Amino acid sequence: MLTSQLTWLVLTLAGGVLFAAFAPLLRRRAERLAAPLLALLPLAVFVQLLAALPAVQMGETAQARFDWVPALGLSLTFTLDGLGLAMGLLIAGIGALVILYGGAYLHGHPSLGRFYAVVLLFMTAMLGIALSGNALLLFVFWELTSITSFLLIGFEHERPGARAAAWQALLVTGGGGLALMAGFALLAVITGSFEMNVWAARAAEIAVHPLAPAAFLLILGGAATKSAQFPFHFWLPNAMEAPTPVSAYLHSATMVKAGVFLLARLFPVLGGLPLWTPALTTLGLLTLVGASLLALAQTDLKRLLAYTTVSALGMLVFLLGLGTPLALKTAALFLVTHALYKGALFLSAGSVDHGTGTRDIARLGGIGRAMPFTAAAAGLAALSMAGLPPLLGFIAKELVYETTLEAAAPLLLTGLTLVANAATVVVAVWVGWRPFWGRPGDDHLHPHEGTPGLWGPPLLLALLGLALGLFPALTGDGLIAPMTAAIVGQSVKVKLALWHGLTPMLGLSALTLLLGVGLAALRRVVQPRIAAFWRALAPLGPANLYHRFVHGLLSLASWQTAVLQNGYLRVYALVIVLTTAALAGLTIVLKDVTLTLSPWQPPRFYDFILVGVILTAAFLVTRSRSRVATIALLGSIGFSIAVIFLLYSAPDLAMVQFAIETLTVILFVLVLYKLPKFSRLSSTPTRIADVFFALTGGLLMTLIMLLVSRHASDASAAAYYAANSLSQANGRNIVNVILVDFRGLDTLGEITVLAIAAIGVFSLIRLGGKPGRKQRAVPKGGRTK
Amino acid sequence: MTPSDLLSILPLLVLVVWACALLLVDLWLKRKGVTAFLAALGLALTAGLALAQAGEETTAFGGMVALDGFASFLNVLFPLSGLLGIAVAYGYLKRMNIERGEYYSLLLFSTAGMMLMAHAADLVVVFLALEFLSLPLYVLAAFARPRLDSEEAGLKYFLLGAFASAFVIYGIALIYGATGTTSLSGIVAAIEAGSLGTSGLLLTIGAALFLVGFGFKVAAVPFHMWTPDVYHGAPTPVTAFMAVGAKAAGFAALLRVFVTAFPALDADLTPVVWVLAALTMFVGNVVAIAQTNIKRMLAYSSIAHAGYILMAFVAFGNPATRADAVASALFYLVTYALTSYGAWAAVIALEKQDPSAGSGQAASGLEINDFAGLGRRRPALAAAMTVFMLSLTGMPPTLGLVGKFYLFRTVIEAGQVWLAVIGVLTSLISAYYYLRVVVVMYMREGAPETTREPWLDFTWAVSALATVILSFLPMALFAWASAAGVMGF
Amino acid sequence: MSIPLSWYLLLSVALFCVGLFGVLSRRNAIAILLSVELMLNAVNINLVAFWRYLDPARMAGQAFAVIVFAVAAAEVAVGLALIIAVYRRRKTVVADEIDLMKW
Repeated sequence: MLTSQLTWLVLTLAGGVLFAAFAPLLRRRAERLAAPLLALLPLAVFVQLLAALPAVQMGETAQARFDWVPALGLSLTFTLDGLGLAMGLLIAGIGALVILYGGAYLHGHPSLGRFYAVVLLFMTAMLGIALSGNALLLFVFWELTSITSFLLIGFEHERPGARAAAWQALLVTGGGGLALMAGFALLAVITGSFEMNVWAARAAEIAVHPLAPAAFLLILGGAATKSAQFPFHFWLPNAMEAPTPVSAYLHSATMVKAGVFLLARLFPVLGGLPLWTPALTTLGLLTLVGASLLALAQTDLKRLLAYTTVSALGMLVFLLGLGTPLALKTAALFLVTHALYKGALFLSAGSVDHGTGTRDIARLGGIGRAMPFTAAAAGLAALSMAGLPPLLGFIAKELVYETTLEAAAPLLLTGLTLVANAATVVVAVWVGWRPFWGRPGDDHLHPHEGTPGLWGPPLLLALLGLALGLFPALTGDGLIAPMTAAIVGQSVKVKLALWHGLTPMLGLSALTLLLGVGLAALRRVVQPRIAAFWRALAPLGPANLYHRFVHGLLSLASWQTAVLQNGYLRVYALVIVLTTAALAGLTIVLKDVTLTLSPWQPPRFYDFILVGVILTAAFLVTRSRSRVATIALLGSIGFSIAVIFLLYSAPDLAMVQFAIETLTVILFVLVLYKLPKFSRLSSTPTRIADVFFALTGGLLMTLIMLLVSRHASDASAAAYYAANSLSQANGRNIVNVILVDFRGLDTLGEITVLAIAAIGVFSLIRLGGKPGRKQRAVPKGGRTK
Repeated sequence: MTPSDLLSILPLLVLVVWACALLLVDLWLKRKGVTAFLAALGLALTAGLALAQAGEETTAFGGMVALDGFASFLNVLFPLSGLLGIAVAYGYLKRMNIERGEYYSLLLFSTAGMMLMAHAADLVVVFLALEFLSLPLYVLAAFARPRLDSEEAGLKYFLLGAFASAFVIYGIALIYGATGTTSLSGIVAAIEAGSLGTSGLLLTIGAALFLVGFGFKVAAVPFHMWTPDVYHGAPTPVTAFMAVGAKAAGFAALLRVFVTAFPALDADLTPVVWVLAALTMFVGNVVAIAQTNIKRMLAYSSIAHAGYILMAFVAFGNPATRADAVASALFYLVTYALTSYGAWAAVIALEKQDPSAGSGQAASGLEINDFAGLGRRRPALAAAMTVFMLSLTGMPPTLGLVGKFYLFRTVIEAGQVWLAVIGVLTSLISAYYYLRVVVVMYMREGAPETTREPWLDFTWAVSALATVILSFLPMALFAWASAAGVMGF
Repeated sequence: MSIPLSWYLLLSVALFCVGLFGVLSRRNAIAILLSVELMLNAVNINLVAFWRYLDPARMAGQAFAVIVFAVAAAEVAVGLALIIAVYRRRKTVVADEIDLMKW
């Protein structure tokens, strides 16, 4: 039952991709209807997921499998469990609202159609992540979300800022994705599978494997870049260049949760590693505290929200790192809570921007009367963010304190969490109360409420936060319990309540609120100081390091191009020679061979002459400036070698050598006749260097040659050739017989090579024969480098 | 030489004869379109014949030539790459005013050389095939005469190519000296007989020189430096053909020789290949970042991809992963061939003769910035180019991802996890310059002038579709590459 | 047959290295081509020496050497044609540029 529901869901998604492709067309045809029509797709998914909820609450999970390349372990496995389902509900539900909101927000924008298409594509990919059961499939969707995020951040690509931010986000998250892939590959090496349930089943085996820490760190790297953990957090605030609905959807509610989701998904697999808790809690706490303090320095509504998103993500990673059932339950609840209130706040920030033309909290104030619905949505969401009863945020915050108090170092952890939570309260006041009811900083705002599309979606999300908070038991049993069960791997009881009595957690909550509201009131004092502090630290920040890294890579590349890739062939040849020498030399050194010289036997007199002629001539060839002399010298070398062949009693070979040498000399002479004298263009020092390099190569080769020893050969084949050549091939000249017959293929090929050479020469010469066209001087740039 | 010998290399023979005939026929043909058509027909026929041979396992010419899964796989791939080489060239040659019939014959000859390489089971044949395929390429690189950069590219390619050939043949001579034979099976027999003694060193050095020479052909670092200059200078269709065909042929030779003859040298060669692969991936990808010219950028990209394919070689020593090493390299070659041809076709669509320059000047439209606004002007072409860039990076939903995945998996199974990590990291670097093209196409304003030619459009459209569709349905290709991974000899 | 194999191999190496030196130091395309020719000649000495000393019975070494000659000749032909082609253009374009290219 559940499986068939899942199959239908996957098919809906596949259809959704096609649907998305037609979004631009639909928008052009029916501007007004496009948004509601397109929102039907996420809505359909949402309803399907809701229909599957009861079964999942009963503890069922489903798998659907489509083969891709089974031999490589590639199969499209989808699973549906509590975690994926909750995530899917958020993705589809907020997705539908964002489509509606986007239609109003970007009303009349020329590229609205593209917006719809890419958002739907993103939603499909994101749902893919939530439902993947196979790690490779997950990776594919993961990278797709990076690409769609890139396209959406760069939506208004006329602005250089948007382009730069899009680029940065893509490099950081796309790169992290590759690290993730490497981690998956390592896990696959350990287990031989990419199926995540196989991994979970063999978690014990993985935990003790030596490759496991490397796999974990790589996966953590992927998750940390996606979920904007320190030190990769900088891309997320910059991504606020995107249109506000995108920020709400991708960069707070869903995509940035993918990293956290993945860590939760792999908790049964990697949670047992000793590294898990220290790595995740440290990372999470750093991000949590750092980002919430960074948030206080911001004045832009969206950036304020972005930094608190980073800190919330830090909180989630921290909770997952603790790994106790309570912490996991808290993480599950906090994930849902945050998505709801942050989505609502982002969307209302967009509405404020739309209604007033600014997002600067120093200028905004007192617009609540003109924009009542937006104010209500923002206020309600901010209450949840600040953690006031009876909203969902309150329950989540109580649970967070309960978790830290239970943890290993309660004082430290609770203290740090308190600081971060207080900062969150400050931001909640600044974004949820101050713009609407605070003193206006600028009298020329002329605020006005937009169409229902602009305030409806945020209000709905905020009300949902209220509703879920009012019925905590329902929320706990219906949604959080299946989520936690999926993370832990067994069923868990989740009892949520608004009132626990007078507990330490309640006291901490109150303290948080007091601190937060107090600080918020002192905005003019607090904000500039914190901003100055961060400015001073900026040169050491990861964003700066990122810029340096990219810059360094670029200059390394240009340096290489300028120095080595300079267009001089001799440099290229030199590199080849030196590498070869190094390779050969290394082999000799590593092989640790000893030299043994063959016994000296006096050479014959004419050997001396021949060798002398060859070597002298060869040397002169490389030095001589006279053209004819050079050719003559080369010829003499060739003929001397032919004589050696004769001495070796290989007369046939000698004949061939004579013939070809003669031909070559004639060719050269013919060509040289047309060309000017050689001139000596290299200086003496470079020549000396060249001698050195050639000698290096030479000495190595010499060494090798000295190492060669005789070894016996079997003479049977010789006897075969000698005996058979006459009778079978009717030939007397053995080499020729062999060439023509026994090695017929070589000869065929050789003839063809000669033919090709002839064709080549022909085509080159023929073309050169008509230099009739107008010619111009070569400008410097005309040469290839 | 028996009829069965000839039959086993029938596709190759047909192609050679066809090329010779074409050369003659061309003299009487006024319309070069007919020549192009005839050449394409010949290649299609060859590919068909090669396809018909699939599954056969035999040796011919006294063991010098092998017909096995490996050979028949490549013998289909090479003519097809030749076909694409004609498709992208047809309009280009006309447009650039260099339409001459020899282009097609030379391309056919070079393709035949590549096919011979796939068959080679003897080092002499390897050398012969190397020259067979290279000589026409030297001339083709200089084909856009009287363009200076093309002539210079031809000359550079030739001089360094001859230099590299000298290394190959010196290596072969040393191998011959060490084992007394040039046939691959003979070399294995000599090694197994264990009578090499200090000649074993000679064999290793010979293998190293062989590797250097072919490292040049496949453009592996540090023997890669000719690549950007030559790829840049040569006429773009020739560059495309070189980047795919010559590289594939070089790898065919390396794969065949390493896997059949050198497994015993595994301990010596694997570290060398490891370092070469890592260097190639790193240098190729890092330097590509700095390029502003699309041809040079793709040249470095082709260097980087040589590095990825070289990775497969670290698995050649282990009998358990040997077949996978060959199959993953072949699979990746197909991936690269498709994607690379598509990308080059897109480059050709934007290339035009610079009207302000004289006849001896280079073409324009080749800067990456010239792609600005393509997303608006030619949405389909821009989308196709995006697919190619994603595929070269190894991102979904493209065949590049599957190819890279198979390669990395093979490398990891061979126990070289760190090399795979380097591969992943350099892929990440490569995302920078590939995706920059996408950014320029979609996010910068511009009005690129493009050419619409049916065959060119056909090439990029088919490549893009195949890249995407095959990524979802790669099973057939995968099975075929696996079958080719088991070499008869 | 009184001379040990290694002496011939050394001769070959010497020739190869002189060729190498030529490739590295000459700036003229023709001279470079000549130097590559030297290197190929060195290979041939090697081949024949190996054949003579290790395996005189089989003709493979000789046959191989013949192939190297032929291919070398083909290479020379193509190379010279390329050089002439380039030179023709360069000469008329830049009169005082004696060298054909950056080397």
